Amino acid sequence: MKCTICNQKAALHLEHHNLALCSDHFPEWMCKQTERTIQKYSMFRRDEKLLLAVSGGKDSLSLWDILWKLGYHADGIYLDLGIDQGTRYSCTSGEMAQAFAAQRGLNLTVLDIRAKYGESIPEMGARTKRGHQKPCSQCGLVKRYLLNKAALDGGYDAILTAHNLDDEAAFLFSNLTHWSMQYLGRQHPLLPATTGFARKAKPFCLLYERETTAYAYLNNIAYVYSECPYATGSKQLRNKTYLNRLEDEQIGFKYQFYTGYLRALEAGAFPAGQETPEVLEQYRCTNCGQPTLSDGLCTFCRLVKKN
Amino acid sequence: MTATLKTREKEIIIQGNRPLYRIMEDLQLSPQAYLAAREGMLLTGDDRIEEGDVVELIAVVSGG
Repeated sequence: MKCTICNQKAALHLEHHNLALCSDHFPEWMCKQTERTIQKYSMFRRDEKLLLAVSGGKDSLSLWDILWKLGYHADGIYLDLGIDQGTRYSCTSGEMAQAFAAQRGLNLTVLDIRAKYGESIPEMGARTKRGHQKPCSQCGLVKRYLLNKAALDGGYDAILTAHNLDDEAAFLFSNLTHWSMQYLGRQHPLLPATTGFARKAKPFCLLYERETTAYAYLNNIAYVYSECPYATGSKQLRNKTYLNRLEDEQIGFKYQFYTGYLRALEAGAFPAGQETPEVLEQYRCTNCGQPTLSDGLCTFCRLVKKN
Repeated sequence: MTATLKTREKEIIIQGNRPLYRIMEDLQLSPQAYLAAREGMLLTGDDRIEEGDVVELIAVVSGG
């Protein structure tokens, strides 16, 4: 197969775009597509101060590389979750993130959860017994809270995550099968800033996971290849497998599924959810001051408070 | 007539001299879930895998 642009050997066949691209033209295409998504949803500007959640994986490092090439000013933040027992997963991820930042002269903040709050994510999971022996729900909660706090405390205009189209399609599949209306009203690539919450944007939301992986491979980006040990058998991975089967049968399925949802969301098909600005004005966490849905401590402070 | 496929977990000996997409079909591997590379070059489904080739299958799917 030949590159549609230059007729050299193709590195990737993008069937849903009816396009084949070589190892030179594919990375260029990725940069253009990312820029197009940033503009399409008016996510952020080049004169804004951005904070990127960096995991050390292919998606976040590829996004950081592309933003850097496109001239956006994004600092990185790496949350050391302490998932290391027998795997060195967090340790390796952190090393990858730090090496990437050092090679390009980018700013990376490392926040060690255990050092700051006295417990790693697996320890929090074991203590609270929420999530059936897996700390994934605590992990999600802690990441959302701390990324938002870092963005607000650091005076950043927006926080960016590298969720790709496969991530978004899998979340959507899960939210639809459970009819989780509060999440269905909030799965937009851009969530504007509201009381106590920073603007959030997902510039990779229209790019397939195989495309972000190919970008990392072709640009020699060293990323953590092993999977989080707690991800084995997760619903998210299972949903991705189902969706890939559908994609095999019907090229473009994931793209149509997600972009069709976005059109419905923008047309008002799903309510905004519980966390409206009016509701969030009502209560503040008595410990950290963050808006919360009820009187007393917020969910994060309840989790990290041991007694 | 054989070639080797290397995944994250294991190595698989396969029959070579045929296009990659046929091998993926036989192994029931989704082309959405893997990239294939030979000698540092990414392959497309129509690329032929020849005898003695060592092909790396790069898992694409991640997330918990």
